[in-house]
Amino acid sequence: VLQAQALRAADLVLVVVGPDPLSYARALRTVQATAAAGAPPVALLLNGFDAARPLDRDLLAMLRAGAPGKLAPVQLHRDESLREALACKQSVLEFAPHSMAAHDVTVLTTWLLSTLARPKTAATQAEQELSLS
Amino acid sequence: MNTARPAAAGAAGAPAAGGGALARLLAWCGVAPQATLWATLASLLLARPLDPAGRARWRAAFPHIDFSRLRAGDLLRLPLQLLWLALAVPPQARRGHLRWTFPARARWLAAVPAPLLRAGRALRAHLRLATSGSRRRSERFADHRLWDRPMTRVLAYLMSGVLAVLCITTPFSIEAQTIFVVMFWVLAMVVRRIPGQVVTLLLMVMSVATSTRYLWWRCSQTLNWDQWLDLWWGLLLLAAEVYTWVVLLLGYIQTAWPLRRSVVTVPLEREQWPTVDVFIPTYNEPLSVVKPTLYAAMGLDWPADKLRIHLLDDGRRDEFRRFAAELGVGYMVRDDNLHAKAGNLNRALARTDGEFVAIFDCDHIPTRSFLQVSMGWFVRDPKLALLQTPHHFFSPDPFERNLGIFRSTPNEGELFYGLIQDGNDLWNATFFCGSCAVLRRGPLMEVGGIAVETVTEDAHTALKLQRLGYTSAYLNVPQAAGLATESLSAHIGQRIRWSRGMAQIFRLDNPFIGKGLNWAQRICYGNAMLHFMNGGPRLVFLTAPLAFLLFHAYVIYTPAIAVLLYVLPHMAHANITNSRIQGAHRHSFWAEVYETVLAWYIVRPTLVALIDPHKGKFNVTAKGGLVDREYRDWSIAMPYLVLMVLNMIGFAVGIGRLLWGPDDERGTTLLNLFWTFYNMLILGAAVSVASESKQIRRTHRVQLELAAVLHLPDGKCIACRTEDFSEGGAALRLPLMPPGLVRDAQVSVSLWRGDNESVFPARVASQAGMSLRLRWELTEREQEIALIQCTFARADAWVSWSSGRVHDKPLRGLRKVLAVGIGGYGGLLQDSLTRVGPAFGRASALPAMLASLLPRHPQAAPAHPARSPSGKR
Repeated sequence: VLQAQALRAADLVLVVVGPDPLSYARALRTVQATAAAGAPPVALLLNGFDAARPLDRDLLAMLRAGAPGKLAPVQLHRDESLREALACKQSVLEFAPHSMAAHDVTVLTTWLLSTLARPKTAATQAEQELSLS
Repeated sequence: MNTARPAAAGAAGAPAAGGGALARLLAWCGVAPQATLWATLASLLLARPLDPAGRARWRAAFPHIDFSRLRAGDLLRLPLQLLWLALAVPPQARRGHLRWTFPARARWLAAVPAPLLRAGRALRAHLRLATSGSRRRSERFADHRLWDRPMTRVLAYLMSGVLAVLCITTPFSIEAQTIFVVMFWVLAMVVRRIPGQVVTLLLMVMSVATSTRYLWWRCSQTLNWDQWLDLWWGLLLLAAEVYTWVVLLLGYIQTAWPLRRSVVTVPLEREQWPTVDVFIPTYNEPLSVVKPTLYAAMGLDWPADKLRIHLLDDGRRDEFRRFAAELGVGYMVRDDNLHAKAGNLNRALARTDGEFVAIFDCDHIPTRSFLQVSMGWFVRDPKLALLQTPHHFFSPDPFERNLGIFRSTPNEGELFYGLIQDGNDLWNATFFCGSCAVLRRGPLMEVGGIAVETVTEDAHTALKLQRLGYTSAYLNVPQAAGLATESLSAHIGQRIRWSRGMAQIFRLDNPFIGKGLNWAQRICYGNAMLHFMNGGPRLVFLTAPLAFLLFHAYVIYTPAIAVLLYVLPHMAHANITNSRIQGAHRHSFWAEVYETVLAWYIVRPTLVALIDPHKGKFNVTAKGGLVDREYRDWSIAMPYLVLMVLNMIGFAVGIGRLLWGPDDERGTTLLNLFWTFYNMLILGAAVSVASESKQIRRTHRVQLELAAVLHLPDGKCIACRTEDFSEGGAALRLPLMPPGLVRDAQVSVSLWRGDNESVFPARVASQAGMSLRLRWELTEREQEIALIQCTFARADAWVSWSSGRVHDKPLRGLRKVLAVGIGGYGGLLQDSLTRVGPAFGRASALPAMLASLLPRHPQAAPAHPARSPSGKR
């Protein structure tokens, strides 16, 4: 019920997908669920992506093919800086401003801000947590 | 830019009225201008060495002196530099560029009466105002409806014809000619300020007028019919001049209005896109050269079922067969090697049936967008049989490498692909250049496939197509890149083949006669062929002054002053006009160097081909080699050394004649001496091309900024950009240098091709500052393919190649070429001294030592702004 409510209120549903088959399956289900809930725009975000691993590349290709036009223009890369930043209780932008993770987050933010006509960061974050759980 | 100067220089920059030199000097030493004598002395003697800011200032003011390690030579360097600092004022930002000024000049300017200065300034301002709107006005005039009436056009032609005849044939006295020349020059200089193609046409007309007048005068007044020796030399020189005039005139027509065609997208539905056969002919090139081309061809953006790639191996090598099979591309061989590349392609044409044929030399790596960019025009124009794109080279040709001018000065090919082909395109006379082109199969089969009668099958095929009424197009977007010839001898070999082939076509299928072409096409093709016959005339120009200096033959039978009055305008107008037309693609006088080097070698093949076009064979241009040591190619340089010695003898004799000869010959002697001097410098430049400089890397680095990610061994990733890349490695510019990146550390790098990311394992080769040099450690074929597709085959890889390059200025070009010429003599001297004995070799370092004594600009003044790394994402 909570999910349905959140979906109905959302401006944009950001579905975070881990680079594993289970997340992939769940992500596609979420996409279908949003279509049922009155079709707020959906963006699939691939998290922890490592292009050196063939499965990651395949999943990315499958997401592109399976949900055309729904994929965010950036993938969050698997970057040790992110975990270390968390351990230091800092945001990655403070902890390692030149890291790939910081770069990805910046790109994502810029894209989100330009996609949403008015910035509703709080709402987006809530949805993010929702789909993660 | 001013901010880059130290603060002290800023104080000195304001021109001090009295004691300017001393004040400037003190300012460079960091002393405030208002300081008392005692304070000055104190700050000079005591405070200076203790103050780090002061030390930095010293370093800036004496860039060539290492104060921590003084040498004997510094005894001279110090006072010289002090003198220089005292005399020269730091650069002032003036009209956008920095320029050193001297107070003496300012004082001289101050002596000019103020009204005169004001008048000059007013005139300048007026001219600027007048020219700013003139482009529009000139174009509106050219577009006027009046010209659409045949009557006005005929009248205009008649009137200009009469004027031209008068202008060219009226004999003038020396005074009258002087006035005429000055007026013409002033007019050209004023008109030159107006941008736009209409004015370029006007300048062309003026150039043709002066040149034709010169030639008319030469024919009618300067031949000495009484002396057979004079006459013989005179006629020879005249013939060479007539040739130059013809080429100049035809060249103007050829480049009158470059078409600059833009890209057209393929308009059909994807299912209707035509099938394309990609041919990659090879003969003896190593697999390493062919690999990237195949990888890139596989990545061409075209429907997979409509794209067929064929490797045409005339060398019949098993290695190639296996490789093609592994990649899944077509592989074809034939049992003979008849007609070399043309035969190879023809055999493949017979065995395939795609609607279109794209041809790449085996070392030309296509970008992924090649077909999408080039096929649009074929759909739009059903008569189009050929579309050519430029040949782009990412490695330096021998001229660029040996003279150190890679990417700063345009090479020979850039003039052709940047301007001449675009000019040809206007007249529907673009010709095929053998590679990086798409042909329509139907018309190609109609002319019997690729032409086999000559050794330049490409140009001949295009000529045949155009005789049948098919059109051709040129698209000046570099969509493939390859390797330039490695050594000078290989380069010369290639040009010999081209010139022989062009001479063959000229004999066998002359574009000036025969059916099917319009006059402009005849001119464009004809000029291309005539251009390759420049060897003879060039040699005549290199030796003509010797006829007078050594044999006392009056080649031009007229007073020296008259020669100047006629020849100078001819050359000056031709130079400024060509500089305006070609400035972005060629720098003035460099063509002289390129042509001089080739002149001797192409004379014989062109002559032979003109007499008996069936002689001679096809020689393959060697590529992908490595010049592994520094050496001087004496055998190649020999003809030029001989010419050099002859010119030196002539010069010496001329000096003697100047000193001890009859008075009335002085002018002529001086003129010929000057000419010889110029020839000697050009020959010096030609000889320095023959000193092959060492090539360190087997793979060529391409400077291009791409987004990249460096993956460190500990799992962290750093976002960064590439500085350059090659097949063997890459350099990354990092925002911070992570600790622990020792030599041979294992890392990996992400690069993108569109949205697709690929990761390449690499090892650290070296690091310097914030840049990290890596060596690829690719393990799989997929990685090799992805690497080529992420780098060389990018759609935008070569687009901004020549950005940051300055437009040509004739005099700057001349200065640079002459400097190279002088350098040629220096190198020659050093080489020969080293040969005589090591002691002499050391003595040859003397000039460099002396040069190190010279004062130089303080460091803060940027001498030449460093070229920015080209290519942005």
